[in-house]
Amino acid sequence: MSDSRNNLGIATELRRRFGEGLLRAEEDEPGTLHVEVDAGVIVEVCRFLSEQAQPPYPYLSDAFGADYEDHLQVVYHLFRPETGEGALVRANMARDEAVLPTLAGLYNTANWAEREIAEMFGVTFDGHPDPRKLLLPDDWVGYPLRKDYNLPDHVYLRPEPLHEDPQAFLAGEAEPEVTDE
Amino acid sequence: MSETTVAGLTTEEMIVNVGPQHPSTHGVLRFVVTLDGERVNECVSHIGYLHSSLEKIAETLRYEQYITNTDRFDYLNGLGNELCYVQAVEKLLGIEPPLRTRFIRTVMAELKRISSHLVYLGCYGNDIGAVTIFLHAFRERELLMDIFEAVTGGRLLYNYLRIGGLRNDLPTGFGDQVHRFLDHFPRRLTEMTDLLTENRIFIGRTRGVGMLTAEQALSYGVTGPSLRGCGVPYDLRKLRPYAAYDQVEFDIPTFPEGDCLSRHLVRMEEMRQSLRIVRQLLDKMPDGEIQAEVPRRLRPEAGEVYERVESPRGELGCYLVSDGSDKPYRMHWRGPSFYNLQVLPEMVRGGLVADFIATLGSLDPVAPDIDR
Amino acid sequence: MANTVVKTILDVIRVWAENLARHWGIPPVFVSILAWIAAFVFVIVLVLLMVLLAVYLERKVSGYIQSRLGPMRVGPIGLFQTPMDALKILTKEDIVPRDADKIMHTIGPVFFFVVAVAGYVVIPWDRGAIAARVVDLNIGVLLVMALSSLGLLGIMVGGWGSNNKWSLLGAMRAVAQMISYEVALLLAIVCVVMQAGSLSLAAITADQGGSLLQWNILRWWMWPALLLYVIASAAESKRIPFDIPEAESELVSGYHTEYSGMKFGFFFLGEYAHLFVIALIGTILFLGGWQSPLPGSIADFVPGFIWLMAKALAIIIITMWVRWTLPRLRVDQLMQFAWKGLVPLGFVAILVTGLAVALGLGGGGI
Repeated sequence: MSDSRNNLGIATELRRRFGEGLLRAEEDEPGTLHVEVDAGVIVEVCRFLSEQAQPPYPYLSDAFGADYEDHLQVVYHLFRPETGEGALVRANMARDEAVLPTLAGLYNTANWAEREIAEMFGVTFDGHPDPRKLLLPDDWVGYPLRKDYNLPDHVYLRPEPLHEDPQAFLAGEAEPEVTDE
Repeated sequence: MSETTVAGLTTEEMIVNVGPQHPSTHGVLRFVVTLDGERVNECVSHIGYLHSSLEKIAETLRYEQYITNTDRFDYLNGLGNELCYVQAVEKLLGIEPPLRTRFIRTVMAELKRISSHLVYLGCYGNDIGAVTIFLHAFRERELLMDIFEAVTGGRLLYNYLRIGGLRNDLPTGFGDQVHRFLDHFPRRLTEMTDLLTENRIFIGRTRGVGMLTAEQALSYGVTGPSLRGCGVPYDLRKLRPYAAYDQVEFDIPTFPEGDCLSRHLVRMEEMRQSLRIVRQLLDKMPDGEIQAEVPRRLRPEAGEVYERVESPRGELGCYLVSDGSDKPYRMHWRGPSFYNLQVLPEMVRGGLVADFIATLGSLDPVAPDIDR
Repeated sequence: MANTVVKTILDVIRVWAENLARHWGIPPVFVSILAWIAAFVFVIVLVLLMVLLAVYLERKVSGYIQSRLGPMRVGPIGLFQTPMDALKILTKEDIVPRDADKIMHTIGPVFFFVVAVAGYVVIPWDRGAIAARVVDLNIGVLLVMALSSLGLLGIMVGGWGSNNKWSLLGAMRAVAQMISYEVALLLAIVCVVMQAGSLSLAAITADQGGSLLQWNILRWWMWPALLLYVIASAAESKRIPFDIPEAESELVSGYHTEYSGMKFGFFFLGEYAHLFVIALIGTILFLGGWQSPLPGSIADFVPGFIWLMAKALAIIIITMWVRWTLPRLRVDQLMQFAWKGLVPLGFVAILVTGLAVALGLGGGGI
């Protein structure tokens, strides 16, 4: 069962250990701990929560990004399988130097989650074991989930457009080409 | 490429594409599988073929408009997805839905769980080569479809839940219709168990195949029946009861082996538990309003919420950020299939091609749920 | 006698043709060649009709098992559905993958079909000596088995020539499976041959004559061989639970993934023709061939040809029942089952039959 005192204790301990890097540590609804930190200490904070906190939040269930226009945020959802309690750990970083140390060494879950955040928000994960694109095509340009992303007029998911003048073709002005291949 | 020489013959690995068009990928998925004869040496997943930008779409729609989109990613669990989203918005707004609404939502979510597991059962039989179970499972699912159609008007996409309530109350005769199903279904379930689960060949194909340890599953964020098939009783319906799950008694079936068979048995048993839940809820169904007081324009205060429910595939998460306007500032879905699929290479390495298919099927992935 | 109807009709045709030839002054050697061609045409037409019937039955039986109707729209109770499908497949485009070996790609299915049909020439359809079958070989059963393993070559050539990895994998699986199960199948057949004392299918049928109790299925010392034959022949016809070479959910479609149009049709027809020949051989080996269950009674008025067909169809329906009920085995389980289960069982069967024959239980013997 969720025990608020535990989370308060963890919050106090977090404040003691990561005084400067820690922006917020509180429990605003029963059973969910909210933590907000600077990008630099995210690995240490997660390691503390997973290994040393009493009781710990040993596993990562989800990670995702958010774009707050003045900064980017990556949110990690840690959980405790015995009770189902969760902790949301947020890491803030500047938009123009969006670099975060990877958590893939700590949690296997982080591998795909970070790949998705990287392609959607343009966050670089330092030391990620497999930094390829995950959901988007390999030649995609831009970070679609950022607030300032504008969808190009026409997106070609093929290496080459089907027609040499795609705009005219789409407007119905050009005949379709018939090729041998 | 490794080359080994046996009596002067050279062998080399073969790389094959399983998908994007392949009979057992359960949607559009692609795996690049390196084979040594029949043995799987390596498997690399390629996903994203069905990415539909649901998270970006949410930023352009008002809170109440988005409900219709939630049916569409995990299409086997439409009402469950709606439940997750609606609960998240209600938490943001601080609205408590009426008791009757919570009961009806739970009934629908559990019926949807049975329907989803039936699709799993049919498709898994097909993967293993038992074609007949597919039609038997879908025949029973049709009865559930009739129930959904009577209540919501839709068979696959419902758009039934509303923020703080429901679109309409239950139709007359709903109780009888569901009771008929509840009385009829256990017999069919036993029949399907006889046909597939207790078949020697089926057990031979699934026992000890696609092994997953509890530690591995947890560290990869695997949830749902796949995790309970490793012996971890992690079920949000029990641990953090939402809707009306605190009003009913049910068990969380777990099997400790962590192979395809135990994942299969978990799902079979979950169907029986869902029947139990639905029966209790119908007996206790309260009368009353179905819609809470909700403001005309939904403008939640700035804030955020992370809501989790137990979908048939695992933990379904919905993260919503409000900036005080009538549209979400940011929304994120945790698709359970996404994380469940991530662990697949660990499970299939060293197995045979047939085991690869059996393992993939036993994770019950839904392609749009992976890509969202 | 009514049960020699087929023989009589064939004899009438033969005599008519011989007279005609004599009238026109054609040498007798051409007459025999013509008679052979006529017999082959008869066999091929028969095979095609039986294949259509088997496909229709398959769809109806599976429909019944899966609580649906099967084809119902074309013709009364869907009877014309399969002929229409056969016509459709003739009109379909023949697609050859660009990098496929075009010659091998073409030879594979044709070879497979021809070999499957060739097995029919030694089947004794009815009572009588020559007219009731196309050729009477004293090694008939050996020929059928040899042809059926030759069909493998067609699969391998087709699978290899398609230049598709799934096809290759399917073909490799087919070769491995057929070689393993052919051993078991032959061991079962050896038992029957020991019992009958002959490799000729006519002699094997004759050995089971007299009464129902003489059928091999009712001779208890043949039961191990019967069990062996049932399992091995199911594997031989590549049907669930032994459909590893095709394994739709694993290998897309196995060796015929890259085939379309009539080339696919050849594989398809060949498969059902093979299924049917295996059922016919099973009938001859264990169910008394064309003999009626109660000789000397009113059952004799049904032609032996009809009895043979009815028994073979019963076997086919049972294999369909199995197919639509069971899941598929895995390739290593299949191999283990063949080499560790069936082959030892085969030696036991030979031992049991040998003892029985030596003690003179069957009345026949070497």
